Amino acid sequence: MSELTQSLSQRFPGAVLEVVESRGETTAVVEPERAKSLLRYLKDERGFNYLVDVSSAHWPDEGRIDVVYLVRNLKTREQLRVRAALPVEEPVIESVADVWRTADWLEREVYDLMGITFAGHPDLRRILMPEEFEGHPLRKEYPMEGDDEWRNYLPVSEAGHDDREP
Amino acid sequence: MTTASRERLNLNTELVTLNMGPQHPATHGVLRVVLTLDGEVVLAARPDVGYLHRGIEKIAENKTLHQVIPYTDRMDYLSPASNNIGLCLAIEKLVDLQTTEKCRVMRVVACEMSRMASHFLWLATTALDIGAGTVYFYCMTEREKILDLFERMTGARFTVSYGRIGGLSREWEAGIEKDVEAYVLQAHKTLDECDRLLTRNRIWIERNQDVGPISAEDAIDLGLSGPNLRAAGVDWDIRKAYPYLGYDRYEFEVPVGEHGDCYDRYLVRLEEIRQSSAILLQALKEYDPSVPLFPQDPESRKAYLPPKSRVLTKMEELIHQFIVATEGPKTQRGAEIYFSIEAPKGELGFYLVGSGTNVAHRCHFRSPSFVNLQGLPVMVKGQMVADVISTIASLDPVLGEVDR
Repeated sequence: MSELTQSLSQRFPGAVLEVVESRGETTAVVEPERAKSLLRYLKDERGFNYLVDVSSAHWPDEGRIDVVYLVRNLKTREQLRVRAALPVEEPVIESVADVWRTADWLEREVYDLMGITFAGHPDLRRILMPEEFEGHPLRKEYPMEGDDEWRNYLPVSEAGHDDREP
Repeated sequence: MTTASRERLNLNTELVTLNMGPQHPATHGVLRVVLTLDGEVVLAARPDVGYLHRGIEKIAENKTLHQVIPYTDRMDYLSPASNNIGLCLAIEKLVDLQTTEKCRVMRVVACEMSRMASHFLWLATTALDIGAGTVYFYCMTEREKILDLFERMTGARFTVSYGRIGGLSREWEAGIEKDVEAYVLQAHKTLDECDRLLTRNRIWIERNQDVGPISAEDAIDLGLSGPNLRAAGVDWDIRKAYPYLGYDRYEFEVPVGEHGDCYDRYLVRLEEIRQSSAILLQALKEYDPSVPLFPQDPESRKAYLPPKSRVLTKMEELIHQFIVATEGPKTQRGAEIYFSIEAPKGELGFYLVGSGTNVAHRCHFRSPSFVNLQGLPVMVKGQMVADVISTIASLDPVLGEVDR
């Protein structure tokens, strides 16, 4: 696996900020601007033909949101996690939906729940939450009990079923 | 009857948008598919999901690790045992906890039993969608017997919450391994019967062969997993690729299809039931009721739940159980792991990030049904409306898992 991360730092000088090896897994922390070209290289030239997962993690005290890609080479069974840290004020990263079609829904899910914008995504809409929903529930500041979620629903009396005393 | 790439028919008809679902008996849950039709030919299909979204990931990030386990039952509610055992394996990888040999064997048995139950239910409902009512009753009866065994094993038929961090919720009652073995041996008969009823049945073949096909390249590119990926001709099984729970010690075959159509997905699942029963018979031979479920050496004992029989009779174990169950293991801040199991529906992955406390900072579930459902538009393009029903059924989506 070290050969792979070495070739990544050679091919993309300065793009790989850190390589973490822990619990038998390898994580490459990369520059968000170059994440897509790096991932495309992994697919086209290193045989990482299977995108397993796109995920995210919000670290409010450090002011960043991580995007996490997990890619896999089905032939050699190698796995690599590629992580990019985005600023929490404007989390934007290039979409990889044209590299792996799997990313289409996976990125929509991250956009919906974490509020990361994937530039160039073909159809960036909410997928799990209703379309008129506001906010991103997996952000740490979003309250567990919901944030005024029912404002679209009229109270019973306003909706025409007036049960108040005449 | 159907061709995969059918050109727009020149019938001078208007295109029709058909809303299938969200409440439709053949969509296996609250799934809405917006179809664009030219006559009866599907030009485009757009699945719309999210109707069952309960925010399980958000809840999981606000609960201790032990408290997350019951929520995983409600994701893929047709194979709850493999879900929560998968989560426990992921947590054990995150906090570096060992389990005993006996626990490993019991987990394999629970996982394979839930795979059989899930595939039997799949066969039942798929056959019913296509109109083979008899198969429904045969398969539901078999599943019912598995649920009865689960009830004796875990105390619950359906939402079993069987996994515990470092072990399982309870020991088996005496002699249940004989009953599981007897069940597995007789389940073959029903399976052969369904095989005889369907595999060479002309209606079944017409409704399934060349319906909803997908190529191996497309299947990989779209991230399909489990039987859907294997039916397309890709030899990929997490149990073989990254063996967990000692699956490398059991002899079993990974069935692989050829055409990636509904018929191949049917054949793959049918064979998987047979392979599961082979694994079950091997695992049951390894089961030794005389050894304890949790590690007993005094050094590591504090990290595991004490045996239930002692909790109810001994003061110290009661306190010990209270501490383990309410606090649970501590995670290391920033530590991240991905662990996946071969669930009945495909690759069920857990991405956990530690927070430095006993609550996960991030708890993401890579659910197989969610990703598999992305393949639907590719499969049904150019097919007939009626084929959408068999294709959805053959994908085996569980909407509780799609929406989480």
